Amino acid sequence: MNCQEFESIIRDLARDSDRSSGLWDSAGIHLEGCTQCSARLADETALESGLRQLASKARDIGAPVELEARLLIAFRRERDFRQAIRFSGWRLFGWRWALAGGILVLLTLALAWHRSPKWGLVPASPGTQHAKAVPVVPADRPEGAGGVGQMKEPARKTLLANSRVGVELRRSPPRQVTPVRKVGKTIEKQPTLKDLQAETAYFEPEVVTEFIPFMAVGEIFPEEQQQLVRVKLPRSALEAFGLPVNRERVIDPIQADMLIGEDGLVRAIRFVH
Amino acid sequence: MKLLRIGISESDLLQKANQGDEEAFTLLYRRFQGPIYRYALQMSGSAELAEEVTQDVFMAVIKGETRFDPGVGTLGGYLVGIARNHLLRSKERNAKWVSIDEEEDQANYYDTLISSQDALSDLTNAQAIGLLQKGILGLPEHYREVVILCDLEELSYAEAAAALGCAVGTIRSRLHRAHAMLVKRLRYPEQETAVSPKLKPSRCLV
Repeated sequence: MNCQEFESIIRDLARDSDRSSGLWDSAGIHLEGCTQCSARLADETALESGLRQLASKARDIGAPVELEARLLIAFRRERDFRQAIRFSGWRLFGWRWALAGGILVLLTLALAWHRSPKWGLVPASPGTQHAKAVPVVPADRPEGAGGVGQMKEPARKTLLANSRVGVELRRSPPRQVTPVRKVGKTIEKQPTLKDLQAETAYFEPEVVTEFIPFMAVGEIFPEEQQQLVRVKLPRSALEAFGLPVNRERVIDPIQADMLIGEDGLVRAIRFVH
Repeated sequence: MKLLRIGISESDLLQKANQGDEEAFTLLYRRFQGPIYRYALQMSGSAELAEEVTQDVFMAVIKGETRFDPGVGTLGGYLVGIARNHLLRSKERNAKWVSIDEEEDQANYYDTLISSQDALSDLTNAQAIGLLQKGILGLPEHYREVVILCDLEELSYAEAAAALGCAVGTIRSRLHRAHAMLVKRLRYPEQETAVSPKLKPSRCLV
């Protein structure tokens, strides 16, 4: 071992008081012949001893007691602050969920309301709903062909009021439509024909002619309870009532509503497309 | 308060303290405040600054700003590393340069002065111990910190290397050089102090 190698282990030698250890064997031989390294080891050993004393003396030194108290206060504040944040975070989270749920419910209700049939105008089987007859006059109806439009006003009103008309309403009207009457409800004020036409223009999915009375049968009694029966007739029957006939479809049947009086005789007829 | 958490690991202790466990924090503080305070005190020579640094280190623990990795080193070394960073920041913020001649006027905890010509031969003497303390404080900073950590706080080379962020070999060589400087200062104190009074050599206490 030379002096350089000895220098590299001198701290371990100074700390290692057990001279029987293997580290001392090779170092001992070097120390016997090197007074400089012996003096260096003595200094290092003294220094290590002093450092150990200093360490043991300083071991009792610590931060002031007040610091612990201050830090504990800061610790509690920070903990409370975090808990408050966590709590408020959960509250905010809960509010968000509640708001989202509310919006979802509102959207669902709005969608259901939009899609559902409104105002009680559910599809009904013909003849079960009480509604006013729909005196729609076709544009191509020849003048003087007869019908409700040409009837006397009281008789026409009676016919319209007492008719049992099966009206199938297959779709809801737009929301903007305000004139609404619920099925089965009694209407105190008798609407005018214009009102009826305007109103039923929305609800009437079928194109119908006006009622054409069978004048040969006799008078239309205002108090008579009449019944509406839907039948199928050959298309050529249109010709008998002065209506135009599509010759290409003359063999196709056409639907018609027959207004039958209490005696079983037909009072009037209208054609349905 | 139950302080019977002998078997609990340092990282668990830190985790519990971060989760708001006051008992864990108290235990952590009592276990590590001494080394941190002493390190800061011996590095700066200022009890006030040492207290401030210790407070900053534990405030970092309280605020959960610590990113301790048990695989890298011990918690003690990690906290000392935080203290070192705070000391460096404090040094940059308000550098306290104190002339060596003025050190005698400072009565921090170096209240013992030397009268012996050769303090090294009698290091059991309280005055000699005081001279040793002065000698450590007079070391350059990177030598001083390895002496404080390895000799006074008895950290291993690896722990000191983790705390200081350097290689183990660097710690060894710095420690060896620091010891040589201390021996020289203790053996020939008059040479160290009476080199050039007119130059007024100064060093950083922080």
